[in-house]
Amino acid sequence: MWREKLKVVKENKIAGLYPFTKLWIVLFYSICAMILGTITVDGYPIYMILSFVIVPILAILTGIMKKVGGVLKNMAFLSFFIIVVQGILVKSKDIIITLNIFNFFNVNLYKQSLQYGLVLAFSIMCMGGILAWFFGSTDNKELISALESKGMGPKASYVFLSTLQMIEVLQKSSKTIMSAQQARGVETEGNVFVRSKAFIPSMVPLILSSITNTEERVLTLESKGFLVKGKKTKLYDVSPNGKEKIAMVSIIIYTVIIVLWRVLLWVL
Amino acid sequence: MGAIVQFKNVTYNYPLSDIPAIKDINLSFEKGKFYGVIGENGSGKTTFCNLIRGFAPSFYKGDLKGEVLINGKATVDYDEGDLALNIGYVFQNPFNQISGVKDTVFEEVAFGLENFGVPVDEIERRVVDIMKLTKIEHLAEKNPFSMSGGQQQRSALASIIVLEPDILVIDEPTSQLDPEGTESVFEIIAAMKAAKKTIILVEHKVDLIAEFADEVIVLKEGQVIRSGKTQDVLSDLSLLEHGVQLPQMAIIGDELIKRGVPLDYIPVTTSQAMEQLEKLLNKEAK
Amino acid sequence: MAYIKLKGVSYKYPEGFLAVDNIDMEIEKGESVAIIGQNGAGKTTTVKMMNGLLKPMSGEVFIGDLNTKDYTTAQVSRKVGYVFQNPDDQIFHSSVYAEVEFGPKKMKIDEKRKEKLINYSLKWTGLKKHKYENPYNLPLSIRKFVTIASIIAMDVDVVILDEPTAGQDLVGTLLLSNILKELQRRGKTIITITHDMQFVVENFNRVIVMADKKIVKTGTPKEIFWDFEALDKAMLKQPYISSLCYKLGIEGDIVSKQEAIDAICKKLNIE
Repeated sequence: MWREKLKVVKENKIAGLYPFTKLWIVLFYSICAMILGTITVDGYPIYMILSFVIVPILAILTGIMKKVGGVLKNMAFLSFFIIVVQGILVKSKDIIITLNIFNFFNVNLYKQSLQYGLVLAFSIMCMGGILAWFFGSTDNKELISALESKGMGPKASYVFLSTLQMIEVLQKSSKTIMSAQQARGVETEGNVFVRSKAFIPSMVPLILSSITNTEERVLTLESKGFLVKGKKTKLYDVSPNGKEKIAMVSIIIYTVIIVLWRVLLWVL
Repeated sequence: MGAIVQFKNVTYNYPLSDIPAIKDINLSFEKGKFYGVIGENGSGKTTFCNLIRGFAPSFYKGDLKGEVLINGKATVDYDEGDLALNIGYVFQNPFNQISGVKDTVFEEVAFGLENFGVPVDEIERRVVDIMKLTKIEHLAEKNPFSMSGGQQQRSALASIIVLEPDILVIDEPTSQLDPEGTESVFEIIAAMKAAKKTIILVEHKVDLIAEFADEVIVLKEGQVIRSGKTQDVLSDLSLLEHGVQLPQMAIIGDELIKRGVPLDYIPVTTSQAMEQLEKLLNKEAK
Repeated sequence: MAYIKLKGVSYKYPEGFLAVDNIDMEIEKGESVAIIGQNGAGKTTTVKMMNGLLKPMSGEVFIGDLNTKDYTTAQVSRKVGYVFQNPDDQIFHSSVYAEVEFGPKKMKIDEKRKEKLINYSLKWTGLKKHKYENPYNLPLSIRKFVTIASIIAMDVDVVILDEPTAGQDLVGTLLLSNILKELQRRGKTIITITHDMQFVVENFNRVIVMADKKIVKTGTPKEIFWDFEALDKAMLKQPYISSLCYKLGIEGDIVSKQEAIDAICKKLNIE
């Protein structure tokens, strides 16, 4: 009765795909994005940029746009920054336009640098984006369960899972620690300079307490029989949802088309 | 013989420490009894628990002289992880007793059983039974991290009790809890007592130890300075000089006797005090 | 004129959880108050609004003339010190001395006065002998005193202690009592959250009971620990001594050991 309740049931067919299938999608999509990055129009990686559009579309189809939207926004911000820095600060052969700032000095936008910046930025966007999709649509326990059926040892899966959990835990801890330091006169609100002074007072307790807590957590694991020899049983097992074949075929067709295209361009 | 846990001439130093945390301890614990361990902070209570559980020396390393025997076998002779089959361990910080790898309390409690290789059907049955016993059924689907300290401690106890160890070593489980949390933890411990488990409990709340423990051991600077029946130990007012808190009733009882109230013995629990005082009041009324 | 004033204060956490529901509280300068109640009653949230860590969602919190809404936490902390329950959330220096020095140093207190304050707080928290040790080499219960010393060294007007008695042994509890007495003697306002009812009886003459996001009652230990309705609402029990007196049918709303002993002797016609 409980086992049914605890099973991860996903209505969305894409989200419910077996974790390994999704990982294949991540891999193939990333490879394709890199290949597309070498197919340029007048030097611009148009097709790679277009292929990025697949990520938000996929996220919407999987019903996780809300979850993943924030991450994509942050990545876009970072990418924009990379593009601008590359395009303006790194000199290359051609200049696209020259901007005049405050009638004081000129800023050049260099073509090849901009193009390089675009490739860099969209590499990040594509790979980061598809990974965000993966983690947004897969529960930790699904992934671990899949890895364990492939033979990953319990210690490895523990390290993996607890690292993922730790992010949330660390966020909570750091909030508490920052409050504790605020209460002692450490300013945490304000400009960058002010905040940077709060860094060490916040980091040290965080790290130290993580270490102490880890020690106790290891003992907890041992108390719960983690180190007992013999086969372990599993209360939960992830299973395929039936749409894996369609998904694999789709991503393989996509990849084959792109590889062929590239090869043809190379040969012709 | 019945000694389920034994300390034979045990002295233990943590690594890089000249001063022994535990010195010359010789103790025998009988199966099915409830032992309270008290003493000021730094007296070696946690080290004591670590020795029973085998964390010292296997995890903490350090230098162990003498032997700690569990069911007749020295802790150092047990295979890695096997002591978990015999001894359950619960400690002070509820937060650190969450495995960190399970999303619900149900799975958290089942975790140990999975590790022991218990068949899945049996896991479900045992977890359901334990959750009933520890009154955490309503928490079954909650995320362990989003519970209160008392709830976390109760589920920590449940996770250990479900493994059905014969011995329970519990180190200051209620220090960080509110009165309600404390009460619910002691309810579970009382149930374990009723189930005839051997319980070794470290606590500062001596009034509660007075109510439940069969025997009390007092530690100071790593040594046992007193051990014996709860009644005898907790009414020994000289222990106050050794930084040991005694039950409110014992302190009052001692004062009353000094004032001339003819109590038969110094009470350590409210019911003992009531019993004697009511008798005297009835006599007085006549 | 009350020094700390809470008027119609409510607080809701960002996740939507209402922690404090429209409370009013007044604490005079130099008062020593214990706040009791089960976890979840709103105690910690309430005191966090007193030192500016949290700003009320509705209503206002005044420390003297300051409205906490107008200042940052760090600024309010100069007047109101808050000792967190878990010292490990706060300590980040490798010596007790440095840790205690941090607060007054940040406040730019002059060298001479700073030295005096540090020595004073180390003395009263029993830490003089641990001055140059690493706090993490000390047991948790002593580390608690390091954080208390850090706040005392800031010479704040108001000291808030969040569950200082948790995990303390007899010696630690006595030390805490002494610290409270000394702070009181110096006219500091003290607010303590604690679950140790006996400690409340022995160290405070004003108690505020909270339950379910509201204040249930405020009064002396006598008034609180014999108001069964209030105790019930807050799901608290009488301290052992009071409970004994109640069961024996002894009148007088007894809370202290001495009173109990005297009353029992009287009832038995013994002097």
